[in-house]
Amino acid sequence: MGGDQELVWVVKAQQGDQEAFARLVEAYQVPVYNLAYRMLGVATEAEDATQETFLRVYTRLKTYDPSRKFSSWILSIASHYCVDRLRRRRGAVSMEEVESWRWMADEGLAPEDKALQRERDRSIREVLATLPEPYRLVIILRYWHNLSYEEIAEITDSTESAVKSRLHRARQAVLEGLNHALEGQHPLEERKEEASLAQRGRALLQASLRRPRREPL
Amino acid sequence: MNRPHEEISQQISLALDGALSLEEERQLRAHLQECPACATLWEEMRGVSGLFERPPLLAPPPLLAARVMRRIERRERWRAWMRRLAVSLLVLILLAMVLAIPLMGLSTLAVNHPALSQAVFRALVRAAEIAQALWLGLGILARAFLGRGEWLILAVWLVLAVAAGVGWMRLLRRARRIVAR
Ligand SMILES: [Zn+2]
Repeated sequence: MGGDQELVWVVKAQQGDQEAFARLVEAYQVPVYNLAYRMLGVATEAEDATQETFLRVYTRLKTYDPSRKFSSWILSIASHYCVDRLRRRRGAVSMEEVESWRWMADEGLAPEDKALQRERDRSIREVLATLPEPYRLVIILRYWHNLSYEEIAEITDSTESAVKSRLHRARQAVLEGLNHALEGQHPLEERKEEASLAQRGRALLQASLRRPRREPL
Repeated sequence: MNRPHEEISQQISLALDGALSLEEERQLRAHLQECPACATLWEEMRGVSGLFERPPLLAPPPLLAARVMRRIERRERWRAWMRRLAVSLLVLILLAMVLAIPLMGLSTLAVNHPALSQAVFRALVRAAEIAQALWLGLGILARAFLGRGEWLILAVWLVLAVAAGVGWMRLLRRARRIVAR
């Protein structure tokens, strides 16, 4: 989206133009929804979180400072909302399978890879669920939103160097988690019918080394 | 070449983000070639990074944007209604004030006729009771229709009531001063 066009919509929306705000919602629903889905791990909760985020964006529109990047501002509101929501959450949530048609088309993906994509989503969800929230958030912003350290720092109210080390510790935590899961697999133990996180983890580590880099969200 | 392990590990992360300078990258590569432990870590970290590269994106539900806009429209309608209510409340107060001035002129009459003043007092008590009932009803309505916004709405009502009261007192005082003159 062009920055100028976006600014026009923002200014119009600030003046109370709901149609302009609708354009902004259209433009940002995918990044906000995916951020919420990855933070919360449940698609239905992600929808609710996305709605709440946009309502907050709407009510705070007058406080938006145009010298900031609008996308960063929106994602920062979304992040804060998701973190608050996780804090309020009690008990474990049940993982639910997402229908395959809901995955966005990936240009480089053959139709037969759809199943693979679903598998991959499940692994990612399991891995992210084990990460502490601050680690999860930087991973999501770095990989799903393709943001720079500077932008991630702005969104998470921290510094670039803090983001650097947090991202590093997040990757270490993922690696440790996968290794730990591998070690914990005793042959005597009952094998689950579905492939475990560790089994898929190794396969994914291998497969991912051959995967090309993605376009920005 | 004896840099602490943690530092190399951090450098690997930076390299994965493309955040190393050419010189730093060259140094890291040189180290990885002669240190098998770090080379293994590099492969593993690349795997971790790869797990999240080109992540699958979920399409938002088809009506998500429409739902957001509907909620905003509802909110705006509610706010417009509240604004109208506030304005009509203000008009009501002004009207009552205007009516109060001749009533105050009648106060001397009331003092001379106790039965009349008693009747007026009773009518005022009745009016206060009606106002209280309306007030309670509004609170219940707000709670029933508004879910989580209820406390905010009640707070707004309270502020409005206090503002109306204060305005009323001030105007009364001014009116008394005018009458006294
Ligand atoms: Zn080494």
